[in-house]
Amino acid sequence: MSHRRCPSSMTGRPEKAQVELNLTPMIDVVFQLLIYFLLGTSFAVGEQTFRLDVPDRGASVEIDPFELDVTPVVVQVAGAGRIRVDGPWDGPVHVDALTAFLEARRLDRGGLLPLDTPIHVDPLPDVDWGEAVEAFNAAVRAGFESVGFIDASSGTGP
Amino acid sequence: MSAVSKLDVGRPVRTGANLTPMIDMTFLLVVFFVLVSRITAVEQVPMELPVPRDPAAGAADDAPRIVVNLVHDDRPDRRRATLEQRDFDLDVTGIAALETEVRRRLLESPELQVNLRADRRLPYATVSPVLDALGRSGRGTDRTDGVRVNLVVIDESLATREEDA
Repeated sequence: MSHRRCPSSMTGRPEKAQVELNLTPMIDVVFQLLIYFLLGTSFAVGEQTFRLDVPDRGASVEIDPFELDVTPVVVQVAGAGRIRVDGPWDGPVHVDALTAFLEARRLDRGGLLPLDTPIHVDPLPDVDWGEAVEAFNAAVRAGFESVGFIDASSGTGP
Repeated sequence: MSAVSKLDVGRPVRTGANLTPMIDMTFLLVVFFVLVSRITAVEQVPMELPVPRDPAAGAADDAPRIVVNLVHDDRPDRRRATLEQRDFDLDVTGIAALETEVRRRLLESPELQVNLRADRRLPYATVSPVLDALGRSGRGTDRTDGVRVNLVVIDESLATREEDA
């Protein structure tokens, strides 16, 4: 707060004191707060998403009689990194080897599986969600376009 | 700051910037950020998201979305799903209620997507019925390809980089 005297000595009237608020420090502090919140607000640090179209498994589906029946590759997840991939091959037993295994079987890499081959991740009911996602990620990383989870209760694919 | 008045020569005129609107705006911005940061804290339930190695996941797009959180608890009966501060039990009744609520929202917004944030410690038997219910919630909403569900994971390299910054 500052007091100022009016230049009223020429008029002969008594001098009046003007009271003013010095707003500058407050504005400084408010801007500091503003910058703090702008920089400090982070909504989702490092979050990424896997896009998944989840169909209604109970809905009736029209079956095209001319469409070829594509056999999915089922990746069973047993926990502690152990997996099993049934099929006419010597499949990997650990999730770390899943990406390389699937990549080697891609049609464009000399294998027999087209990229739209359904890959069904089938975790055991007591397997952690983190491990299920790890196997899912390995299949997506191998470049396959149709990766999904098998329903734990009915055992049906996506 | 002072100048000379042209109307009344000799009398000093005091001029100054009117700071009141700027202070008003600044305070409004401060209040906005304080509220938004609190809302975010409420919506982002603390949980351990899956951290796959070398994730092939991508950044979330700008499409409208709702967030379903699946929260872990050591006691299975206390595990629950949350959708915008509303809790749903993970039993048959709770999951049916969640399905109804998600369907209502899907009908309101044709472009709506669902972000599923599930704790990585939850057993698959807990997550699978919710995933199934999200698929069923698209029934009657003209989503021929199914409901777009985004599985939320943490990219550890990104998270570390942002924390360092």
